[in-house]
Amino acid sequence: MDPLGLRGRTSADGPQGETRSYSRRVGVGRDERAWVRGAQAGSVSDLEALFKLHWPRAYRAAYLVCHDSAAAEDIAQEAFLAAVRALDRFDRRRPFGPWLHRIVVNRAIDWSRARTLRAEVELHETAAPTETGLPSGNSRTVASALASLSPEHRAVIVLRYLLEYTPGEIADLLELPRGTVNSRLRRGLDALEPRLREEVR
Amino acid sequence: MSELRNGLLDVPAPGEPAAHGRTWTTVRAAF
Repeated sequence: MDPLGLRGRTSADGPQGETRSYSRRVGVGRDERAWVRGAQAGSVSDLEALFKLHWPRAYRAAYLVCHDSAAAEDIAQEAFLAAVRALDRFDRRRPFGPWLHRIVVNRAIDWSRARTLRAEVELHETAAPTETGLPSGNSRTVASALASLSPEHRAVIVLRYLLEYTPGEIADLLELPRGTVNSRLRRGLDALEPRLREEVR
Repeated sequence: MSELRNGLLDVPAPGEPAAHGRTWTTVRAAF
């Protein structure tokens, strides 16, 4: 059984074998550039449009890396505050998402490493989905399997398969060699596969 | 990989709606 279609994949694979840039994949276009321009000129409604577009994925990415809702909120909030503070200097020819996601994911990794060092109980929230009546099934399996990975491996899986960056883009975002990203993707997928198979039995 | 992506999208993220509102209030105030 290959529940998530992981068998035979390589680290360069991704959704639909996607090779287009982030901007093309997520449809960054005139709207986003106009919102950035408007926010730079002081428009609250344009800032809100940017926030509504990007916050849900930023929060989810932070949560999936650190598995702590309070930390995810702090991390996503700090990333947006950093964006607001740097808005005047932001190059609006570039997509907003990667810039935000770089801050979010790096902070989520740092937070998770610090928690590990503090030897706190990890991932307590991932055990909660069925208890809270929220979706179970595949999402619960994925959450549980993801929780078994290190923060560094969770981060590349989230960047690749949630946010849909290419390995090269992930290397840029995390300031890592491309080979390290490929290795983490491969190891992450290798670790996920048996757990996912086990859980769907 | 679509199943993995869908699973990541469907993983419950506790507190997301409330966090959205609180964060927007903070970001708006800092703008």
